[in-house]
Formats: sequence, structure tokens, C-alpha cells
Amino acid sequence: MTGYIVKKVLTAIGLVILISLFTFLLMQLLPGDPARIALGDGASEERIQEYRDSYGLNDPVLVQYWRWITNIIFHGDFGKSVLNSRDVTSYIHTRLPNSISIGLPGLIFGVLVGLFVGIVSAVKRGGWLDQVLTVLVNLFLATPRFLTAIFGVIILALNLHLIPLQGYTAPWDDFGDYVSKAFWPVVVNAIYTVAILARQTRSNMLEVISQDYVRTARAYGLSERKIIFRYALKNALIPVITIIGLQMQNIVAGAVIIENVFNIPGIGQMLLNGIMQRDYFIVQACVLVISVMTVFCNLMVDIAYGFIDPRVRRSMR
Amino acid sequence: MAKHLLEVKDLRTSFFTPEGEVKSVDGVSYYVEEGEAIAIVGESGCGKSVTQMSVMQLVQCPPGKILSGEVLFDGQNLLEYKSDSKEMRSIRGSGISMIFQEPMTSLNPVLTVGAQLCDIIITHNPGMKKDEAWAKGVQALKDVGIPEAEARMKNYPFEMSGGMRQRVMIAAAIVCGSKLIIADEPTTALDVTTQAQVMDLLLELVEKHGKSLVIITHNLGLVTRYASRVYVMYAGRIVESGTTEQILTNPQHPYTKGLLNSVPKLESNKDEDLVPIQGMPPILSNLPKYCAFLPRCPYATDKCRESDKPMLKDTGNTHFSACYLTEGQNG
Repeated sequence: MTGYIVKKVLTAIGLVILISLFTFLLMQLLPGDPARIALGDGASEERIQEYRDSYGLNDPVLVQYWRWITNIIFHGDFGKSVLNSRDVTSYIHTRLPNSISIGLPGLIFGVLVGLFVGIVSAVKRGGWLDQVLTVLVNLFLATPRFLTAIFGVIILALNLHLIPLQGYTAPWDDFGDYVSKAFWPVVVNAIYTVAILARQTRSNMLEVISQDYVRTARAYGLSERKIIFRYALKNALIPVITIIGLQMQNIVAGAVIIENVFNIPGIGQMLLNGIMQRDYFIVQACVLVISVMTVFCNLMVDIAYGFIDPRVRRSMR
Repeated sequence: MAKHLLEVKDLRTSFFTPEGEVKSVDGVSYYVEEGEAIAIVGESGCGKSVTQMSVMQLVQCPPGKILSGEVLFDGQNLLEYKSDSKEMRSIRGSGISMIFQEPMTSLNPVLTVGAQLCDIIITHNPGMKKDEAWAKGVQALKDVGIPEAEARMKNYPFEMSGGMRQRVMIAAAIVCGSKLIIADEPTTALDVTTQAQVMDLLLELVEKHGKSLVIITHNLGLVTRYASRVYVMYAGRIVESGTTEQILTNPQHPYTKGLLNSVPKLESNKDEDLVPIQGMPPILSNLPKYCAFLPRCPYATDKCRESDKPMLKDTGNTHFSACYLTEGQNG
């Protein structure tokens, strides 16, 4: 098991390095010059070259990459914004918690409710409750996230005046304010996790319930509750863990849409603004943070597999 | 005469599908005595498994439904209990146990053998301590001839061979003291040498421990060696029943004759051709009023076409056959 984890961690580190290199090169390929954007159209050629020199933008690409990545690894320094010299590290530091304060509650609610809905649908398969839930789940799966977000704002904020239109207050500043402002973004995030998880859990449960070993458990007098929770659920959850892992990275990656709809100062908004302004270091930093979280989530899933599925555990010894 | 441990009377189970009612079990009666091994023989889809699932009340409902009949086990009618009732659950595994065809998939892949055995033991002995249950499980594995039983308890099913898993299933079947074991094609998925070992083990349970055994099979070879009586099923009905010797040496029903002619015998002449049964198994949702075997029967007469389904009639010495051709012979 230790060997399995070490192997997975090393793979994950290699993956992060590759992603960082790829992002770096990709940003260089984008048309548009950050120096020109920062200095405006009227800036002279010398002024622009001077600006580029001061940020090291005229060095060979690999030298730039090496400088950037070693600074991060050895000094925890993500560089400075090309546009306004702002320290990217502290920028992320203020933005990331905001994203998490929206994404994490959404994920937790989504997973809990999604599993519950999936199990209920599977146990009551074919009944009216299952049918209503299935229709709802498919409805939300088919509706883009921003649309759900905007419709909710129209109904809940504009018509019913139950929640503020947009904006964000951090929970550690004013919790009441945070709840009222974060309510709908969190719910929108949760709805999609619920929809995906419920569908997956339901179909997995149904598949497992029809397995021979569930019939065996019935034939040996085990109670229906024990069959559902001990025999069916554990086996059905193995593929669901992958989905939960994918949803985890949505805390940050999926934030791009939600944060822009609700004007939440999180890492998703920061990324989008960075891309618009060709602010290399901001985009690179955001993508790196997001990819590290993604890789980390996948790593957690792999390790969880090892614990839950004995077949994986034994084969990875 | 020994006591009837299980007596099934006129059992009817149907599946209600979009194509209509499928009469999988259409008035089946049979019995098993204490310490006796019987066989129920028939081709795929003849209802032999559904009959047993009905006895255990494990038929998926919907679409399946047990319509009528009696299942007397140790004198009590099991059909009076609901499928998920406490009484029925306590019968399953400690009164009647089932062994299934596929040892590969019949055990839960993510729980150890020990955990699964303990689940069964604790279900039927509420309040028993875990280490007590564990010891009982180890003993059961020893009883079915599994070496290094303690170590095997910690194995997952995928770490065992097919024969070993089937032994685990047999251990599960006896661990809570079931008197009747229903083995649904217990050896189909095993290779020939393992088949013999598993069957010998089952027979040992009958002969040494006084268990009763119902073997469901389409393998007539199994029947000759292990069962004392045989029921032949066709299209949801029993068409012939008698002692193994009666059935094998003096088959009465054309279907039984067909079955016997379609398998090779050691003593038979090499030049003798095997004769397959002509035609296809009947579609159970669309059975004729007359004898279901008639379209495939080489001996069919006008009387067969014009009459209802023939009933089981004694042709002598409790050898029953449901065929108009055999009716006149002895009676």
C-alpha cells in the first residue's frame, strides 16, 4: 500500500510539472503583449522594451520558465502582475479562500444530497418519487450552470427580494451577510453535484442490486437494510468516488463561471481577468493552483480506491 | 417412510411482462424427505430455478408473483409469510440454504470470506460476539474441507479458485444449521474434477449429516450418481417423476426419452447416433392449451392435439408421467 501511494504521489508531481510547463508555453503563444496593454497604445517602442526587460519578458522562454518555477518552489513567490506590479502570491492568498468559501459548502451539500437522492431513487426505482427525481436531475444536467444561476437571481433576488443581487462578503468578516450572499451560488454549485452524483449513484446501485452476490445475501436471510448499506452501497460507491473527485476540483475550476456571474472576488474571476489582460503571471499562477488542486483530488481518489476496493489494494502491493 | 421435510403443492409463479403473463411455474408439486437428495431436471427456462426461488420467496416482485400453492417446510406453510418478513428471513440461511451456479459472482467481491460468513452467522444468531462468529466460520470452512481455514477467512473471493469459492458457499449453507440445501446448478461453472469434489461434498452432507438436498441441473450425469429421485420439468410443469433408476432405465415421457437419447452413455455402441430433441423450447408467454411438448414430440397423436394438457398419472410404483401415451399402459 505504501509503495502504491508513493508511486501515485510521484506521478502526481510529474503531472503538475508538465502542466506548469504547458501553461507557460501556451501563454507565450497567445497574441497580445502585456507591456502594450499596461502602457497603453501611445507608448513608445523604447518604453515598451524597457518595460519588458524589467519583467524579464525578453529572455528566452525556457529561461523565463526556469526562473518562474524555481521562484515558486524555493521562495513560494509567484512573481508580480505584469500590469500593476501587484504581488501575485498575496493576490492568490486573498482570492483562494473566497473561492473555497463558496465551493466547499456546495460540494459537501451536493455530495450528501446527491448520494441520498441516488439511493432513494434506486431503492424506490420505478415509483413516483424516483420518476420526479429523475426528471429533475436530467433537467439540471441539461441546463447550463450560468443559466440556472441567472434564473435564480431573477426569481429570488429581483422578484422575491429574498437574496441580494450579487456580491460577496467573506464568512470571517460577517457571517450573516455571507450566508445571504453566498446562498444561491452555493446552491447552484450543489445542484450540479447533486444531479451528477444522483444519476451515477442510482445507476450503480441498480446495477449492484441485480448482482448475484446481492441475491446471495438475500438468500441467506440478511435484512434489506443491511443489504442496501453493507452489500450494495459500498460496491456502488466505488465508481462514485471518481465523480466526487471530479467535483472536488470544481471548487476552484468551476468557480470561473459562478464567480463571474455573481461578481465574487475569487480565483476564477482572477483567472478570467488575467486572461483578458494577458497578465502572464496571474494566469500561470491561477492555472498552477487549479491544476495542483485537480491533481491532488485525483490523487486522493486513487488512494481512496486502494482503501475501498481490495482488488486494487492487492494488485498494487 | 421418512418425514417430508419440504412439500410443495401446486405452486404457480408467473412473471408479468409487456408480452403478457409468463407462467414460469405452472402447478408444480414435489417433496423432499429428510436425508434425501432429489434432482429437478430440465432445459434452460423450464422453470426449475424459478420454482426454487419461489420456495425461498426470492422471486423479484414485480414482475414476478407467486400466485398460489403451498410450500410446506417442516410443517409450516412458508407462503403465509411475506417475502421480507422476519419469519421468512430466518428460514433463509438457517432453515433452507441455496447454493448458486456462479461461484465467481455469488460472493461479494469487496468483503472477505470471513466477513460474509460472519454476516450470515450474526444475522441468524443475534447478539453473538464477533470472535465467536469468526470461530464458527472457521469451523464451517474446515467442515467443507478448506485447508488453512483461518487464513482463508481473511481472503477475498477473487483470491480463491472457483471450486474453493463453491466450498465457501457450501460452508455458508450449512453454518447456520439449514436442514435443506437447494443447489442450483452447483457445478456448471466448474471443471470436471472439481465438479466431482463439490458434488461428493454435498452428498456427504446428506449421508453423514442427514441434510436434504435438491439438485437443480440439466446434467443427467449428476443425477445418476447423486440423486435418489428425479423430477423432470418442461415448460413450467413436472412431466415425469420417479426414482432415478425408473427414470433412467424406463423413461415414460417422450421428453425424458429425448433427453436421455441426446446424451452419450459409456456402455452404448459407438455407432449409435445421438438424437437431439427437435425444435425449440416453447415460449412460456404463449403456451398452447394442449401438451406443451407436442410440437416437438415424435409420438404425438390426434388425441394429444385435441385434449388439454395431460396430468401426472402413476404408471406404477410411484413412477409418474404426464403423457397420454403412457396413461393407458398400467392404469
